[in-house]
Amino acid sequence: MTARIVDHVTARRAALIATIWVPLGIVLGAEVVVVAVGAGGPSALIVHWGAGGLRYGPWWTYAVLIAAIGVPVIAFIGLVMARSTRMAGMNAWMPAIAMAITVFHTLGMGVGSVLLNHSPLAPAVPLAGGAALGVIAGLLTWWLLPREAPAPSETEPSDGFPVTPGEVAVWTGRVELPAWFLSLITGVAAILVVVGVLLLLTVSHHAWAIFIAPALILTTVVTTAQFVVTASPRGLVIRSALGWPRFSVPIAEVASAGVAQVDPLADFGGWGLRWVIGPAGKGRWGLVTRRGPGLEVVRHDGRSVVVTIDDAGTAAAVLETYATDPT
Amino acid sequence: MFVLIDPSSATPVFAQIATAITTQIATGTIATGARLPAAKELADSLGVNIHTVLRAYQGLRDEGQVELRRGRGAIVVGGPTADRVREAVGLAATEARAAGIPIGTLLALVRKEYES
Repeated sequence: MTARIVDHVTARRAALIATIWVPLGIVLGAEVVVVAVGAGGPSALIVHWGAGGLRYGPWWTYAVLIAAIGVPVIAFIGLVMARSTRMAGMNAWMPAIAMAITVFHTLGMGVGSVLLNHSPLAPAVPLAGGAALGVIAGLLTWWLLPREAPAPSETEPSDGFPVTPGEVAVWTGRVELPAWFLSLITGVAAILVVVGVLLLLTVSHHAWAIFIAPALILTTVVTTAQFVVTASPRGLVIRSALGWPRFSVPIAEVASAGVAQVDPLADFGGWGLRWVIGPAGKGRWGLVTRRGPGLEVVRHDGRSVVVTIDDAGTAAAVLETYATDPT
Repeated sequence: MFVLIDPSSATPVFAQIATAITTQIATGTIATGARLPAAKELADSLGVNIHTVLRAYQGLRDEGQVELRRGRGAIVVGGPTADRVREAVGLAATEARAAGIPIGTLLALVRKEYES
């Protein structure tokens, strides 16, 4: 059921072919079909099915659309794939995602809409068909693509301190999102707000929906910009600086604690608050803000929590000191 | 930040907390501008009364190591002087190693200078 396991070089080559060259081929193929059909068909095609009625435009609108979506998507996912350290774990999803998006937009929003350019079949049939084929292409890619063996857990267990009975050791630290990231997100939200206000004032009184995105962005940023991490005889607590959200592992549930070498993309598929199936096959939460060492706390049932903090070794030692044997 | 206390020790707990924080400010483990954990949070984690932690923080404020601001907690301000001392100590340690002076002798020298 699982994909073939091969060495790193083979897996990486296969992944780059599936992420870059095959999707590029699909985009080119779609362009050929659109040009062949479009140039020989009616001079104007329906290019927009909206609440305000149909809009017509030249056939090459679709050719431009395919290139405008396809090239940036392939370039972006291809870059991420080329930079990733191993073709396993969450990275193995990258080629599947590239394939799914490419098949969906070239067929659903490109070729399909050109071949089937009349109501009521379009746009529903091309879009639904494209989406279905996209999902199938993505799953097939995920299933067929050979990959590397998952990296063994790189967590280095900690030893704990020689604490005499009655002594209490506590470690606290902070996890902060990088300042450039916060400014970028805040900038995007600010631009949306300005555009929204301009729209409300000038064009449409129904533009209020544009404020939903910046409101969500700002709420998320404010609640997750800074976390306080505490390791104590009571266990591990990860709490947003505002008090919520809050995660904790009571000391009675701590099986072990150590320092994990975190690769955000390979281990968690990205940055931020993440949940994945870990190398041990159990759920793994991650609060990931950077590459490098982080604290990993494993529960007795195998589930674990990873948080990228500086001085993770000391935090792990505190938890090891007070972690109880399950027996 | 790491704090280890021994409630059964003759040294009062608030002083143990203050010493732990002072040491880490001096060694740069706690950077200037860093915020100390909320007093209630640290008290809960250590299993001590919040007033014990507050007393430690107030002591650090009286020594000019932190600033206590309502609603913002305790901010470390004692950095620059500690930085200079750390540099000087680093220099002394390097010289001592080069001259083959053991660490015990170096510590004794530092103590003598400090108390003179």
